[in-house]
Amino acid sequence: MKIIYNCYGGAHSSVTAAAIHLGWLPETRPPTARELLNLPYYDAQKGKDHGRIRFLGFDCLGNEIYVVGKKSLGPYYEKIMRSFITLSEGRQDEYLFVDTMPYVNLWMVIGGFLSRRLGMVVPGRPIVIYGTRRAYKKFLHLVKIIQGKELQ
Amino acid sequence: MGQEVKHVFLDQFGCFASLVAAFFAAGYLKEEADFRQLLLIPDFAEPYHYHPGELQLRARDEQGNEYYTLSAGVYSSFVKTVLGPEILRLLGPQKQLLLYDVSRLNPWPLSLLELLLGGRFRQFTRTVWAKYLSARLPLIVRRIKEQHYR
Repeated sequence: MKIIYNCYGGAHSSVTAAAIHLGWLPETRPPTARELLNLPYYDAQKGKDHGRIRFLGFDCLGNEIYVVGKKSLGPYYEKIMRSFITLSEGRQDEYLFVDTMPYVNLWMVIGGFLSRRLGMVVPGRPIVIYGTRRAYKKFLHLVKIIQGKELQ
Repeated sequence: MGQEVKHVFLDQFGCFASLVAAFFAAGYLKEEADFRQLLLIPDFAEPYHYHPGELQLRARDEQGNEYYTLSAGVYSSFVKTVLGPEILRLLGPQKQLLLYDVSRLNPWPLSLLELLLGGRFRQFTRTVWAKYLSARLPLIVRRIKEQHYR
C-alpha cells in the first residue's frame, strides 16, 4: 500500500506524521527541535515543491510512505488523485490519502507562513517547531488510527 | 489493441470549455459549430456541483479513444503540470493519457457569475456560455492542438 500524508505545503504536519509512522520520532514525548529539523523535507519545501509526492521510506509492514503539499485543495486533492487512479485503471485500495491539516494549530500556520512563504526562517522556524511540539499528541493519535487501518 | 488514448480536458467546472473541447476532439463538433449546437451537448453548462475532482467520461470515438472532463476549480494548471504527472509516476506504466488545460478559455466574469448565481437563471446562463464558447471555438481547437503536440 502507498500511504500519502498530505498538508498545505508538505513541509511540517505531513512530514511529522509520516516520520511518526516510520518510527523516526518518539512516541512517549514530543520531539526536540533537532529531531524535527533532522527529518527530510521538514521546513524545507518551497512553493515549487507543491504537489510533488516525496517518498520517505517503508514502514514495518512494507507500505510506502509519502508526503505531499496540496496547496488549498483540501479534500479535493484526494478526489482528483482518485480520478487519475480510475483513469489509469489502478487499484483504489492500494492508495491511502491522509489529510493532516485538521491537526495543524495556529502556531504551525503562522510559523509555516513566515518560514516557507515569506522566507523568514527566523522567527518562522522556532514558531513552527513550537506548534509541532504542541500538536504532537494529535499527530501520534492520527498515525495510530492509520496504522490500525493498515492492519485490517 | 493497446493504442487507445484517454484524453482528459480540465477546466473549472468540467462542463464549459472542457466539455466543448472534449466533443470537438472526439469528432462530434465542427470548428464552425454555432451556439445552438453547443446547447445540444449533454450536460453543457450544467455543473453537477462546484467542487473540484469530478471526472466524467463524455465521449468515445470509433478507435476506442475516450474523452473525459475533469473539474479542477482554479487548479487546472496545477493538476495538469504537477498533480497528474506525479500520481501517474506512482501508478507506473499505463495506457496513454493526455491532459489538456482549457480553463483559461472560460472567461472569469462568467465563471464568477456562475458561482454567484449557483444554478439560478440556468437557461439564460447556458445561452450566454454557448454564444461565448462558440465564438471561441477556433481558439479552443488551437489550444488542443498546441497542447497535444507539445
